[in-house]
Amino acid sequence: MKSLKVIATFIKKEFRQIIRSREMLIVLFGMPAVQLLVMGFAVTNEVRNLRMGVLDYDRSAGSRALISSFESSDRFLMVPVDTSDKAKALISSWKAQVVLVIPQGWAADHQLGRPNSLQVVLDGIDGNTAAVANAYVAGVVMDYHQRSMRGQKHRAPQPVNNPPPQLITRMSFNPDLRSSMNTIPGIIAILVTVTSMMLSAISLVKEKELGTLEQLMVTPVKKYQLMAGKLIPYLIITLLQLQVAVLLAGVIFGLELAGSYLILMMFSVIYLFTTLGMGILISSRVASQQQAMFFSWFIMVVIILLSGFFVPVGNMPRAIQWISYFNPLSHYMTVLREIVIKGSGFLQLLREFWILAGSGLLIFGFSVASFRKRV
Amino acid sequence: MPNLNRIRAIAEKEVFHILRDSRTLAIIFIMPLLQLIIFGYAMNMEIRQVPLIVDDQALNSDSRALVEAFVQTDYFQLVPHREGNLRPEDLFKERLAQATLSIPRDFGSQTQQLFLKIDASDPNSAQMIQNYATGIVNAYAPTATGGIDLRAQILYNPDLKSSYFFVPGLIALILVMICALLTSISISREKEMGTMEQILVSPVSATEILVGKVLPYILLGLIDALLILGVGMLLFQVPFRGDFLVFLLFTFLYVLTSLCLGLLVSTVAKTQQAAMMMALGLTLLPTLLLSGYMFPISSMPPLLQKITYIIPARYYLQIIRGIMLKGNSIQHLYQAGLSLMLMSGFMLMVAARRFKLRLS
Repeated sequence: MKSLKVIATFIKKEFRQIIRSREMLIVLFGMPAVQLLVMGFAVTNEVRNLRMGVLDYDRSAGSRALISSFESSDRFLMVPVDTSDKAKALISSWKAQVVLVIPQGWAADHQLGRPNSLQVVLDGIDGNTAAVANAYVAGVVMDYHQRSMRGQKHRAPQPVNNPPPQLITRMSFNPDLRSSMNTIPGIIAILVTVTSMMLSAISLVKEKELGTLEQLMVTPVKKYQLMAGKLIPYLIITLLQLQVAVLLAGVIFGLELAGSYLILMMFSVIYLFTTLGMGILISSRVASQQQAMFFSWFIMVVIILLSGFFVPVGNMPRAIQWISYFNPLSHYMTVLREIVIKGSGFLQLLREFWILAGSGLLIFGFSVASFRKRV
Repeated sequence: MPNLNRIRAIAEKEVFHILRDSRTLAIIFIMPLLQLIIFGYAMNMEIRQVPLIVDDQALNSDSRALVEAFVQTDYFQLVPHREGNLRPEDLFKERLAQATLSIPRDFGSQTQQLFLKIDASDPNSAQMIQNYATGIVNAYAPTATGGIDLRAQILYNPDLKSSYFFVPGLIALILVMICALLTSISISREKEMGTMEQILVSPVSATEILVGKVLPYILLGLIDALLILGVGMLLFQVPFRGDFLVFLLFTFLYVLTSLCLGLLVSTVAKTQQAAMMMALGLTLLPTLLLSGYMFPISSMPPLLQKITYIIPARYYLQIIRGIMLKGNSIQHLYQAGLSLMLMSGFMLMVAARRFKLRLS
């Protein structure tokens, strides 16, 4: 009974410390909200509004029709140029990422079925964008070709005796292929990790640096009371942050939770034991807040990059996939995505449950056991 | 008039602080190398061996040949079909497969239709899987009537190597992190420990404190940048086509901008904890996501595109990619350089004003 009171006093003190500084509140709730908004819109692998220089030597009805079919897709913004020198300068001076060159007499050759060619020059610096842009260009040209062939009446379609197979594709769970569906749960997982780890990593070392830890050490407060008093507020704050994030995801991105809210919360609490444990482990081993900060930064960058947020873990080489298996964030992110997007139940996430529970027990247990109540 | 001796004294003290903390120093140098390796070997956009479940109702020669065509590529990997007729959605929830292909009973005779269902919870992968599958089916039955020969030429990076993209990006990220984070912490630490007041009552002026504090971090940041550049060029054969002096000049400018950001944070934050959180929030994620480091700016919604104009890394990325890969000279990059200068001037002004307020 008395020990609970001690813990309650600690919790009160921690909360007061946090609420007292307005900037800390902004950092804890304002910034994550802004980050969620910004990232939800920014993280997309789609390519849109590519600036495309056009060098039209042909100047015929056909070439104009081709250009207008590029214009009508929202993928390209056209930048007309008249000399090849200017076209070259477009890419080197960052004014365009693609240049299309239509040689003289192209439309006539194409109309008559003679061999003809178009030239596309791409800025290869962003390899991904270049590959995607190249595919779009090919798509628009193919489309143009088919439309113009259909328009020619005198060229009757050849009789086909054996029609080719036709692939019909359906997208499950996310038929419109919205990027935010996938990235928002990922961002939420990262925010939860960053907040909980940072708060707990700085917690003890701050008292150490300010000299108040020594004062605590000489009081009759027990080790577990001290730890509980520190960690429970951080757990509550992180869970609150999670609520805000889930709410914003629903209101702004229209992302409705397909699965159970309770299971989501349960997994989050289990996961937080791992991150809070890691924070405490860092905090009890470093000498200054700066060190604590850099250690947690170091760990976070590695676990975020290997979590499957930017690149699916399945794309990575085998050895790194194996390392990712020990990355708790990767499993928590999987859990969030499965619950939010697919509405998976507990049984389908059983493997993640065991892994997260195991890592929580191990890391949290070790961090508490290795913390000594002495200076 | 700032006194050089006093600046040197403050800078020396800061250098001692940095050197004494060997663990932080180690992280500052190991971190970029580790990231280089992760980006170089782990960040692979290409997906291979997509687990595919085939439900072949036809079981005739046509359907078998088609399934064979899927399996023979490196893109798909056949997962044995389990007993019991699970719906594709359930298979996706169990994460047994990322796509299912169902071939109707009368395939090859009555119908030529095939049905592909893809788990689109990762839309990017789903798109790629669809492209692979379409490619395989089209290759299986060439319908090629392509009357236009499209010749693509890819400049600067003909093999589309991703290292060309991330090595310069990493330099931008590491520089802003070290300069903004470390400066903001170093000043708010003095405030929290109460040593700032001691410095303030000494005859050292505010400008001298700021300059002295910032100088060692400029050096540290530049050393780190050169380290990444060297290792990136050695390990991943990233070219350097431009002028090294121009690179140094613009890098210095970027370092300055990052430091000003750190100064600004430290005048706002009262504790180290708040300073760290703010500096992290203002540098790590915006630089990763809004600078064009990973995701193209032109694809973002218009409002976000406007926000990217206040991210220093946006300009520096253009500069460093331009110099290293395109061999750009100053005349291509002066606009980006001017923007950096304006930003650092503005931030420095606000920081100095807030700092002086505190003094009086």
